[in-house]
Amino acid sequence: MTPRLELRHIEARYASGGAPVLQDVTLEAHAGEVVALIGPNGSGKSTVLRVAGGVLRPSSGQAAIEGSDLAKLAVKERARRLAVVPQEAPVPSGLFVREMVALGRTPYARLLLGPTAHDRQAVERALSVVGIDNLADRRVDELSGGERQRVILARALAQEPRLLLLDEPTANLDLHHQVAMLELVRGLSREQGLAVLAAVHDLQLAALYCDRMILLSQGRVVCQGSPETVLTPPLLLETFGQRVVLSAHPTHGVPLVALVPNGNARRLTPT
Amino acid sequence: MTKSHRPPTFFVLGTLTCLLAVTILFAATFGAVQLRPDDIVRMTLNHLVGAGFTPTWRPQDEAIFFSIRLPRVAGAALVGAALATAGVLFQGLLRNPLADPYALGVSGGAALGGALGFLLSISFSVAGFSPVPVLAFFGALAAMSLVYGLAQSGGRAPVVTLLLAGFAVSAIMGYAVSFLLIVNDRLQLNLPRVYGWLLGGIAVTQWSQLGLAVLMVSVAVGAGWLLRHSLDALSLGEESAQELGVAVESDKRLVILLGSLLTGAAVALGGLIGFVGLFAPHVTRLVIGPRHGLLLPAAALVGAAFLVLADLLARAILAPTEIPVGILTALVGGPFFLWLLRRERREYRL
Amino acid sequence: MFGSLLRFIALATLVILPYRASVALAQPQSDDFPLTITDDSGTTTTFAAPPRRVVSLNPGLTEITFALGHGDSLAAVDSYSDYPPEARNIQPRLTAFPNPSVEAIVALQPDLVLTLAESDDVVAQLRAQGIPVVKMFPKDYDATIETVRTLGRLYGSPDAGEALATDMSSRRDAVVAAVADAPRPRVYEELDASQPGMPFAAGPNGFYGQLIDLAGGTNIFADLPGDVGRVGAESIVQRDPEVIILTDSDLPFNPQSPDMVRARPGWSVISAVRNGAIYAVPGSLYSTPGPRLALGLEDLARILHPDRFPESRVASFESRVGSRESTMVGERRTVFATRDFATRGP
Repeated sequence: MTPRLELRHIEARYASGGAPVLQDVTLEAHAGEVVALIGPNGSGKSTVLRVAGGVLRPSSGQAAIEGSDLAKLAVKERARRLAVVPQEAPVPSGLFVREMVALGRTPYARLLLGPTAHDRQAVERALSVVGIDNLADRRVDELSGGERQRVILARALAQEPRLLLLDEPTANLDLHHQVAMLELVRGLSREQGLAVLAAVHDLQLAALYCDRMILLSQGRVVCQGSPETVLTPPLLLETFGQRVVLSAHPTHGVPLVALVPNGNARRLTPT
Repeated sequence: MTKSHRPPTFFVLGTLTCLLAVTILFAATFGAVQLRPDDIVRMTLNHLVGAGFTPTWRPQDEAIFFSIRLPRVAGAALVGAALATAGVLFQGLLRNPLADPYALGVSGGAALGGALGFLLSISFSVAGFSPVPVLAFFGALAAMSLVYGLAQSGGRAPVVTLLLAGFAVSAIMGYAVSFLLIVNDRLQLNLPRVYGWLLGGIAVTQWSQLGLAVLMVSVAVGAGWLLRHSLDALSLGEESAQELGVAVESDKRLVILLGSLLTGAAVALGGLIGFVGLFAPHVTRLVIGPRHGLLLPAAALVGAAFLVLADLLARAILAPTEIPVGILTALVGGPFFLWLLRRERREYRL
Repeated sequence: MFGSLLRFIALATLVILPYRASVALAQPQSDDFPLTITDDSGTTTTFAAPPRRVVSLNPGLTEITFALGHGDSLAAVDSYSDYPPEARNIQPRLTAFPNPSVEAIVALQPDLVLTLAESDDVVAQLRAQGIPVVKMFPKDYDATIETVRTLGRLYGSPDAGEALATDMSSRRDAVVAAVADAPRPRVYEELDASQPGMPFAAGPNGFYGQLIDLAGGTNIFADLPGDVGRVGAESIVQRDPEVIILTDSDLPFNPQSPDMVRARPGWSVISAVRNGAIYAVPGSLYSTPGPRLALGLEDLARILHPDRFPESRVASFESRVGSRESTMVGERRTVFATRDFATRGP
């Protein structure tokens, strides 16, 4: 089956003639799976998402969504197939939640006429799937960080995408909301067959919620595969510069990542 | 889908249209001669549909009303609508609450064009417009093209660069006007007139002038309305807008073009009238929200009514002396601006 | 022998020199000197002798200087001084806007600077350099007459000044007497119509306004707060002037003509337009503070009351902007009369 997203040998730069930010990146995302991009700051996670979203044109390599060349796709068509949940985005004042989510229907908006019944239904569906029906008539700028992030997710879902790209979706959330967000995302992926590519910085959450992982370092793919394959102490030491000890999560059996701190940390067990 | 928190579209537009009509009627009754509203209605019906009402007014009054006052009031409404629409467009484009129709170099370009119009000894008339407004119009367009040209690289024009280029171009052109005023005899002798024009005043005297302007303004407002989805999406940031399927750079160019046409037309009809383009969009947005589908027509109506009232005050407060209308809009707009700045501190964002 | 010849020469020189000096000084009437003048800004300056190197920064003051017979004492004028024709030949011509070059003036070493409108800063700078500055800004006809007298005394030709002043006041009195019992038509005097919907009109005072009064007219805008005001076209139609005077017919841009006025929307109902009583006049004649104001007054009076001024007293001369007649409608004709003041000696 054609992967929803395919990046082959992508090289990307921000300024023409500048140093490449991504080199020879090849990855795929399939329907129904959650793929996590992990790596230290500056490793290129956001850039990969930009290339995948069609916002940054790679200097070489191919990017395709459902087999169609991303570069050749019209902007509007692209927006109907993939949606992005950014890390932070300015929110205009005075907008209600329902209106914000309705902005997700922009790729389908008609020039002269108003929204169709289908548009309205898509908005309602997005609101209920994300579980924010009760917030629909509140103003977006009055919401907490976690609620706002969910509104943006709902907006992305209102686009009815086949591929969802998330840039650090848990970055500004508290613990409970971090878990809730990823629960939601993984659930959607399995129920609706959405392909998800997410940049995640919390290795533990990634281990719990993604089907595959891609480890990036300095613009290159160091390793990709199941979390068990990627989360190994030598790789993590090499990429993150941090020693870890892995064990098994007590209830779910996925890798449990334990940091091995340096001298100043507290100890309860003898050396 | 409940819209419990937003007033329905038809209600808003209907109310605002009625408000504008009442304002126009009110403004039309006052002036050097006070006319009675029922006389006005009868006069108009006589004129428009040949209804045969016997005149209860003097022929002078009719001449004043149709040839002098009505074109001017209509001109004020048109300029107000054009400036308000341009304000909405630029605030949406630049995502800056301080953006107004003159943000991208237009004020300098129009002033320079107008000064050149005062300077040149050629005289011509385009649909009833003398050289000064015609050159001001083209000056406005030229300045905006220059600003875009300076700000863009590789086909993209970042908002911050646009703002900076606009500020610089306006400043440079403004100084060029000052320089011209100093070195040129002709302009020197007529400083009060040049400044009088710059300060703004509805200079519509013929229906032909209005005809062309109505055409241009309605086309531009209509096209702006067609861009409402892009403008809504742009309020989320350019990258998010692109991710929502908006062709950001080409839509930005279109917005700039429409904004410059609207502002150019406004300047040709009334000189540099400030604050309307800042005040009307904000006030409208506060009441009915930021969705451009309703904001654009509503702000246009609000701007029209506002300027009609300001123009009425300009000609009635110190009658027979005419105050430049730009002074009055500043008197209202200035305090509003300060209030807006205070509010800004509570994170009011576009 | 040689010594006594030397002594004789020395004595003779001593005797002759003062004689010649006093002769040189005696030519103008200088018994009023030293003279103390208070100018219009309230500053008093004392002159030991009549000024002989004058810089004039205003066309009207230049005209008065020539009319008093002292055109040859002008060392420099401003770039707008072009009447009488001799004034155009005076070099250097200084640009007075926005401010004249103080250095240039000082370099000329004048013993008097005449100004109408220079800023206090410039005036103070010149005075600090020891150059006497006399600032005269007459606001109307009567004040101009006073300025003529003052300058007459200043130049050491009080008789010439008195004669000129008397001429101006007697001509004014003649006009006022001639129109005394005539009905006063409503007059609208336009100064600038770059925006025809909001033209600049003459107010009650100042040169324009006073002339209308003296010439036997009623200014329809006698209620304006200043000498000049911007009015709405509606007011003009409403107040229905019987005569329209266009002082903006010779402006460098947007000059107006009676045809243009007739074409203005809504103006056709005005009495002046219906009766063809729209007159284009050379604006400088009506507003330059100088002797030709009398001509302006007579011209306006003839326009407003043609029956009071028989044709035979009119002679045709050159006016400021060259030979021209005002644009006429109908049969009324007026010719501008200019007297050549430059040839009138003290």
